[in-house]
Amino acid sequence: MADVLKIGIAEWKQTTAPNRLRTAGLGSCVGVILYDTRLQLAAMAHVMLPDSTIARKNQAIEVGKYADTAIDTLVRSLKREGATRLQAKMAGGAQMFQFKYENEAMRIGERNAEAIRQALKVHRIPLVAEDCGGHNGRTIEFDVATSVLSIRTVSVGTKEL
Amino acid sequence: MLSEFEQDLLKELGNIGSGHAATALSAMLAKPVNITVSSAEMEPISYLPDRVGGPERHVASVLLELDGEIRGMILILFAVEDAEQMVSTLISMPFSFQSGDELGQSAWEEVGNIMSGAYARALGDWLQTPIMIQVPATAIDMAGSIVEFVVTSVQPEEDAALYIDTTFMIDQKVSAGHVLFLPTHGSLKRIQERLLGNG
Repeated sequence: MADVLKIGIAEWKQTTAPNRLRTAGLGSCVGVILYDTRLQLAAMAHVMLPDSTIARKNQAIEVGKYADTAIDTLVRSLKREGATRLQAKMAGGAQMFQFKYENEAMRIGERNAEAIRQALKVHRIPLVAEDCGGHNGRTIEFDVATSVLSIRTVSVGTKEL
Repeated sequence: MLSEFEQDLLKELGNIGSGHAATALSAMLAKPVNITVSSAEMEPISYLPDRVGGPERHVASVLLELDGEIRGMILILFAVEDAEQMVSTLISMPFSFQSGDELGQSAWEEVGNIMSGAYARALGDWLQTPIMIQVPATAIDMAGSIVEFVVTSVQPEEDAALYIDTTFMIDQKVSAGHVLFLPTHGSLKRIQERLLGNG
């Protein structure tokens, strides 16, 4: 039986085929998937913020919450299972509201996506496909067996990457 | 975290704000608007999408940024059908957001303007401090996406928001609204100080 593993805000999970990974209602957050097609192994994180250094000191860090710690954790965990050829897909990072006067905090989606691109570069992991930015929320589901990422939005419906 | 006493005071704010919003709506619609505040409490942010029907629930939302001594955001959410019903009452004809009808769309923006302004004014009166607001922005999308965006924009490390459930009854029809007030970290402290009479 195939299971659909649900990933909440700032969480991450790892699984193998035939299971799927799903996260609902991405806004400015980015859903990023690292996978190894040979092992039929994948992990998804629901990244909320670009950089873990803004976390308050003396506070336990939720590793899935920040782009840098999420990518580090996913890479380490997948490699422990024997992954050698990792690839990545991601979606999200929208700006849900448009104000006349925008401040820096409003651009958090864009900064999340860029932080993940940078972290992937550091680990030399190719970003195979992405659907980031815009003004729509997204629900995404990754099929580990086929590496297909389904993306649903309210306005456009479902598309696949 | 806030003490029980402080939470009770915040609930009072929820009641006052909803009262102002109902008065403003009533004036706009030229009809009586009855309200019931079913709950007003501080809730962990991670619970919020479930409180409004799950992260994928389609909602109509209004977001107002607060500036001045108290900073943060006020977010108002209605189920899409409830918002459409309110707009239909207002423009006296059926309305759906998908139709792209401009009259209805601007009527919804006006509802958002008036309601969010009412909550902001209640907050300012109550804390006796001027609160500056801009024109609010609106979005029709998934509840989870909207809440998440607002939470990350306001104050990433803050873990709770004031959550107010208000039911508006217009022409015997009920629209359930959810209002979230998210102060920035420093502003929550200021509110606490004011509540305790040290501000």
